[in-house]
Formats: sequence, C-alpha cells, structure tokens
Amino acid sequence: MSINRHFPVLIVVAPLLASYLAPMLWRWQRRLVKPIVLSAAALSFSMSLSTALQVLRSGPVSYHVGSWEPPWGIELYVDYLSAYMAVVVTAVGLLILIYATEYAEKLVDEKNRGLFFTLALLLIAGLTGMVVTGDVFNLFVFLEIASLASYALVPIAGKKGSKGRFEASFRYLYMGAIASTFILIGIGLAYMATGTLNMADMARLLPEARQEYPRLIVASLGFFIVGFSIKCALFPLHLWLPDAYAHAPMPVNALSSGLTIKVMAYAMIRLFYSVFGIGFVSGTGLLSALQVIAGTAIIVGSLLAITQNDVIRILAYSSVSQIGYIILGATLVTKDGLAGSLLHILHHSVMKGAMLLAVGAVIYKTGKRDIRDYRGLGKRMPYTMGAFSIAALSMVGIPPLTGFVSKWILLLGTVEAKSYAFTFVILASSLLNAVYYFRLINYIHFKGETAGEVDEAPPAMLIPIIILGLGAIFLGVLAGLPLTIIWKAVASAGL
Amino acid sequence: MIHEALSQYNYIVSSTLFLIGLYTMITRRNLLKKIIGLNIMDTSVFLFFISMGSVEGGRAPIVIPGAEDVVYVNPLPQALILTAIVVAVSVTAFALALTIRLYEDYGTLDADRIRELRERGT
Repeated sequence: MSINRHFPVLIVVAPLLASYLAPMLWRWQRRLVKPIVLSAAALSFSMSLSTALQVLRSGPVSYHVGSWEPPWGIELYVDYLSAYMAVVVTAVGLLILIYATEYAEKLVDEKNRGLFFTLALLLIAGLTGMVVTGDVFNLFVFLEIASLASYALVPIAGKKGSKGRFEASFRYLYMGAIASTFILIGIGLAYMATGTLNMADMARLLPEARQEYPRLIVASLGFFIVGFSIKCALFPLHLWLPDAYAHAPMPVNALSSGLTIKVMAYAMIRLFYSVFGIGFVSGTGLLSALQVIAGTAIIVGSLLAITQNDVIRILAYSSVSQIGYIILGATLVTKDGLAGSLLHILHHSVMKGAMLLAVGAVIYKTGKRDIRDYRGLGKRMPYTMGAFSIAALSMVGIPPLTGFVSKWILLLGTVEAKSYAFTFVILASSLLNAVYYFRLINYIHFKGETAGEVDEAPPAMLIPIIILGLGAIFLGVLAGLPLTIIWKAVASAGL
Repeated sequence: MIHEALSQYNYIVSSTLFLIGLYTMITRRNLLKKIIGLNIMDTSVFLFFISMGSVEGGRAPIVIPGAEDVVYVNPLPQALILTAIVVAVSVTAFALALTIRLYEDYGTLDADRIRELRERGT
C-alpha cells in the first residue's frame, strides 16, 4: 500500500526513465523498445487513474520530493484539477503511443525511430510533470522539457518527412523560446514580490505583496499571459502551429494538439485560479482583454480553416479556434464557464485525437492529404472514416456527442457572465465549424470515388482511432463522469 | 526620482539587454543572428535573477564556522539560474543543429530566402 504514496512522482518518473532506456535498447535489444515504451505509458496512466480516485475519495494529495518540507522543497500537489488533467494526458498519450508504434514503422526514418519514442515519452513526462507540480519554477523546468521535446519531434520523420520540416521546427523553437523567456521573467517578478516559489505559499503571500508592489505583480501576470498564450497557440500568437503541424508526423500532431497546448492552457488556468487569485486577475483588466482575444481566436481560427484544402491545415486552424473556447471559458469567471473550459480540454483531446490519427492512417496508406483526394474513402476505410466523421460531427456540436456538451456548458457560462457577445461568438463559430467539417464529411462519403484501392490501417493504428471515435460518443452521453471531478475542481477554484 | 532609478541600474541594464535581444530576434533575417539575439535575451534574464538576489556587501552563501554577522547573498536565484542556463544551452544547441541542416538544404542562412526557396520548390 505504501507505494501509493509515491504515485504523484512516479507518474512523471515512469515515462522519464523509459525515455532514457529507449535509445539504448534501440541499439542493442530493438524488440524490447515498444513493450518498454508502452508499459511505461500504461503504468503512468494507471497510476494517474489510481491517484485520481484517491483524490476523489479523500481530497488533494501533497507529495514532498526528497522529503523536503514545502515551501523550501519541491512540492507535488495533486488536487482535483491536476488529477483530472493527469488522467487526460496519460490516457490520450497512451493511445497515441500505441498508434505511433505502427506509424513510426513506416513513416519515420529507421535511425530516428528510437529517438522518436524517447522524445514522445519525454514530452509526456514533461506534461504530466507540469500538471502535478505545485512549484512555479518546477513548472518552468517541466515546461522546457516538454517544449524541447516537441520542437525536436517536428522534424523527427527524417528523410521520409517533408522538405520544410527543419524550417517549421526552427520557427516553433524561435517562438517557443521567446515564450519561455517571458514565463521565466514572470516567475522572477513573482519571486521578487513574494520570496517564494511554492504555488500555495505564493498564493498566501500575494495579497500582502499586492499592497506593497502593485505594479510588479501585474507585470508578472502580464509576462505569464503572453508566454503561455504563445505556448498554447492563442491567436494572434499561433503562427508556429500550422507550419509545425504540416511538417510533423501525425502522432506528433495528435500529441501536440491533444496534450501540449491543453496543458499550456491548464498552466494559465492554474496560475489564474490557484496562484494569483481570479478576483485579482479580473480586476487588472488583463482578463477582459484575454476574453476578447479568445473570442477573436474562435472566429478567425474557423475562418482560416475554411480557406484550406490541406486536411492537416484544416485541423490545425481548427485547433487554434478550439483553444479559444478553452481560454474563453477560463476567463469568463463563472462556474459554468470554467467547467465548460475544463470539459472541453478532454473533449477536444478525444475528438481532435481521433481526427488527426484517422488522417494519419490515410497518409500511412496513401500518402494523400488534400481533401479533394479523399473522395470515396468512407467506403474504403469504413472504421477509420467512421471515427473521423463522428469526431467531426461532435466538433460541430451535434447532440448528444461530446462537442455539444462542453459547448453547451460554455454557452451557459457566457449567459451566466452576461457576456452575450460571446454567446453569439460560440453559436456563430459552431456554424463556421459546420461549414468546413461538413465539407470534409461530404468529400469522404458522398462525392464519388477517387481514393483508389486502399483498405484499413493495421490494428495497432485502427484500435486507438476506434477507441477515440467511441470516446467522442460516450464521453458526450456520459459527460457526468468527468464532470464529477470537474465540478469539485471548479468549487475548489473559489468560484 | 532619477537617483532612485539609477540606484536600481541592474534592472535598467537587464531590461535594456532584454529589449536588444528581442529586437535582434524579430528584425534580423540571419538565423545565426536570431540565435545570438535569443542568447542575449536569456542572459538578460540571468542578470535579472542574479542581481535580484544580491545583497550589498553579501558573501557567497557558504557558511563559515564561527563567523558571525556575515551577510550572505540569496542563493536560491543562483540555483534557479543554473537550471535556466542548462535550458538555454540546450535550446541554443538544438537551434544551431537545425541551422546546420537548413544551411545544408538551402545553402543560405537568410530566413526570408529559405522561405522563398521552399515555396518555389514545392
């Protein structure tokens, strides 16, 4: 039983250890790589699940790394929000890794394949670390682990990738490095004002520090907001995202869209609600600015998606639009708004994961990514395209699918906040979503036949797609399940 | 007012360096200059952290047995910056590796020229 106590740190350590083993084993015992990688991810997932259940049963868990008492030592703090995010990250991460074992076999250069798993696990380790940590500087360290891994994952396909891959990676790195510097300055300013790095301790000391250094703390908040807005690709700081997606292997895009940008949005929510205090944040006026930006992101992301013919770019711009929903919900400062935002993190991970992996399966089979070449694929790859279509319908917000539930709660949140302009934005955006997703579905199922002879992808790829596709149905019907933990997270956020 | 500002010159220097670095990153087309700009920006943050923890007349935070009334500088920012330096070195190393590959592929370090060549190529 006593090993339970160490689960918060082991969630991070399991993928971290396996990520260092992967390249070594790739040299000497190649057949062991996949089992080790998958079992590390599965272990991390089961430990997150067990921790989440424990948190639901008996409240938040605090873990002192190396037995150093906080605020001096590093504290891992798993509350309702962290537990929820950890389960989402490890579950979707595991499914994507299962898919990637087969995908990488064909579409990643042989000499890079061991490194691919190393980096993917490092990314997952960094993201789970960001989720469970209770220390601001520790957050930065895990953020950098995750970011460096994701910069390097963009060109990982090697010679089998596209020509612009290094340029896309460089642009991602260039914007990401600016963002990291901003976040580091934000940490420095907050540390100057409070003299602590522990989140709970900082939250305790900030009200007093506000009296003494009002402008310092607003500046710190501003640096954090800009930094994390770049990292989570919030319009107009999203420019790295479409290029990175267009050139990266599809499992990497699924990891990035499903997990990375979500965890960056989580970090922003965590800072707003658990460190700075939402009352103070909304008093500075930065929050209403962020609302307007998020509202613009929702509309502009959808409009840009409509103009594209490349399926990957359509999905990339759709992600830009969806991250707008998450940030908008978090900045409404209403219970429903925050709950909708958190639920949308899970729902969008599942829907976008299903769609990106399905497109990956088509690329695996045919190498095609222009929507006009997808005619008739619905008959050739019924399961893959079925999951894709369910996820697409869900994204538009057809009840009772997942997208509908989270958007509905978000709508209630905008009404509760009396921000009717944003109610209109969400409704209008659903129409825009319908324009480009119905176009995709139309090409896939109802526009004759140009796809040629193709069949379904191998089972290791098909099963994650089907699970995520079914998830897009069942997480909508059974939305109460994630909502139990979300409502507790919202209640403890002080709304 | 001016006197007060000048006594905080470390912050003025680090914010100036930060702006120089950011400006270099945004305006220069040469990839190497962008990377140098990134490093200037990182260095400014290091300076900001280290000078924040310094105390006038403070000693390195190594406890001297028997000595009393010794003022130590705050060691925590220094420890943080050691980590941040490692991060900055890794980012720089990776950026340079990418630059080498870009130069091999396109024969130039000019960001605009690379984009032009790629768009013509595909």
